[in-house]
Amino acid sequence: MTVGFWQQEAHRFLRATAEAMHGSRAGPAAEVYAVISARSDVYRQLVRVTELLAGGRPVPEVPSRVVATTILTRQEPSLTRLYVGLQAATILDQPYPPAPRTTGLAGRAMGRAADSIGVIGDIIAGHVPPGLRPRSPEGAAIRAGGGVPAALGDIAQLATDAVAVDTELVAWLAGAEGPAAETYQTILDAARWTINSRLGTAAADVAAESHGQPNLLRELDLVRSPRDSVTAVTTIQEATDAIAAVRTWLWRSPNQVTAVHLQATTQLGLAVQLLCDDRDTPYLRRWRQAAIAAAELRGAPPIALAASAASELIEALRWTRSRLNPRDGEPIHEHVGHLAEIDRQVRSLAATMQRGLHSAVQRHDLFVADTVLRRPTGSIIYRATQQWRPATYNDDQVRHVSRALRHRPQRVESTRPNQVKPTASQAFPHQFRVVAPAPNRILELPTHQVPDSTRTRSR
Amino acid sequence: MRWTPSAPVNNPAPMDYTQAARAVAASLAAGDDEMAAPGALNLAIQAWHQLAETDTAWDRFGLELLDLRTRLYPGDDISVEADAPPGDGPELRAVLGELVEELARHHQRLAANGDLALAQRLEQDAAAHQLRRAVAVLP
Repeated sequence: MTVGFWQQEAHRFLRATAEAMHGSRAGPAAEVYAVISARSDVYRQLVRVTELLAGGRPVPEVPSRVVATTILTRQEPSLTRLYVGLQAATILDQPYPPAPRTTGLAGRAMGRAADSIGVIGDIIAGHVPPGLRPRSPEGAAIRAGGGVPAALGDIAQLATDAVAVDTELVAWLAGAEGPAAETYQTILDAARWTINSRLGTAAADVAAESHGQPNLLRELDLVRSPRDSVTAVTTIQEATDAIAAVRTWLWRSPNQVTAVHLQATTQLGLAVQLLCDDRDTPYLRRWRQAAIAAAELRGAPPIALAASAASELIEALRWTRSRLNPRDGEPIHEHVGHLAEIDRQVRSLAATMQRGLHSAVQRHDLFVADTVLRRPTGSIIYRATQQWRPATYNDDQVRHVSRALRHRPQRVESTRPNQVKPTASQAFPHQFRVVAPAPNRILELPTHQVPDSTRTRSR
Repeated sequence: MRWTPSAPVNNPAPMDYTQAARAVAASLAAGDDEMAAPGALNLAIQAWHQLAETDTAWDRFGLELLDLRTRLYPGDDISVEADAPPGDGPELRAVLGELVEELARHHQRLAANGDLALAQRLEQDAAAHQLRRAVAVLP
């Protein structure tokens, strides 16, 4: 069954819960406890699915409803407000006893709703597991934002349903007297906060923003052939470690450097420099020129460990780019203390790539295109016929890349105390992580782009 | 660089950049030229190449486009015959914004194409969002 099926089920059971409560009074305590337990599960599962879709927590954990109220009234992105509201809705000032298995209609329906949302989370997590790289082509697209706004619209709809249940819950418990009334005060406080907070407004805003978007994730089913689990880059430290690991391995194996490594490195150099110092300096300009030039280079795709090295660089690049241009609700962290370190590693990587570039040119494994442009009748757009030939040191593309890799001005000093400056023996402390190359890599070259050997020899 | 073709066939005088951007956007909207989408991306990337030194926001824009081109337009065999963009300014950014938005709509139409596999449609949808995010950094 697909996400869409379970979304409909969750919607149906939440409505059934509200209808079961409407116009009636709460029954035995066991039934109430079952509803309370299932209610918490519903909100927790909505929080989980939101995190899976957003690619992490939009904000750190919300400590209290007071803090949540403040955030909900601020001019925050709608996804952040929705997430904070959902998280705060799970807060209970005191725990309730475990719920029995057999309960009344409301408790059963609410439990089924929580289970349905849980299955939605399980399906999505199979494609985009937290902390890991996507395990399917669908997952790769989801992590890039494909289908996410519309899916968040569905989550917002379920949040609205859950708030409607809370409205009925307050009335349902209103008739309780004596010790029961005191016992239920905690859940009443939680439900009343949810009703009166701006969670409903945040949900409406998220739903409105998703209006008109294709709801593709409703078709998502369980991942059929998951890729191997590989750790994702989710922090600047992990990005730094990934760069250091690649640098270590490629320093020892410069003959493994390919066009893909050069493209990823030059884009990474540009992105990290923007992250460190968002000014148009000569150093930044060299990285920019190199990134543009490297994008025009081609070569044989990396294989085996060289492919793993490319995969690490591309993952570090993906994360760095996401920091430069975060999606709505994506977490933004301060990285001041770590910027000097990632900058240091990129400069070190540049030195490694300089050796690799030399090796790749020497072994005729980099290609540039001589282009002949032809224009179809009536069009202003030209189609290029590219004739690939081995790159030489005289080619602009090679010179621009080499210039950026060679030019490494005085770096920003780390703000960490007692920082030990690397020496030759200390420079490469990280072991290279062997990872499985995943398909649909950002910079992966299609096979038709790789110049064939006949053409290479003919030039 | 393939911005100005050295010896194109039937080479007329190059179009003004904004004229070319509007023509390609119109072609994208009409859906009458399969080269319009890579042509639009080519024009947008050329704007980054030419104007990046005026504002580092262009680099954020360019990095996103470079990523998109590598993933969805790996052939890179398209070039638009046009002058280099005029100086950076509100008018140029508005024209570019319309062009990129039209390209995003093109990808969103592909995302709604039921003949494609779900992974492909999700990728197209991701591309539409990425384009809108990219152009949003150019106020």
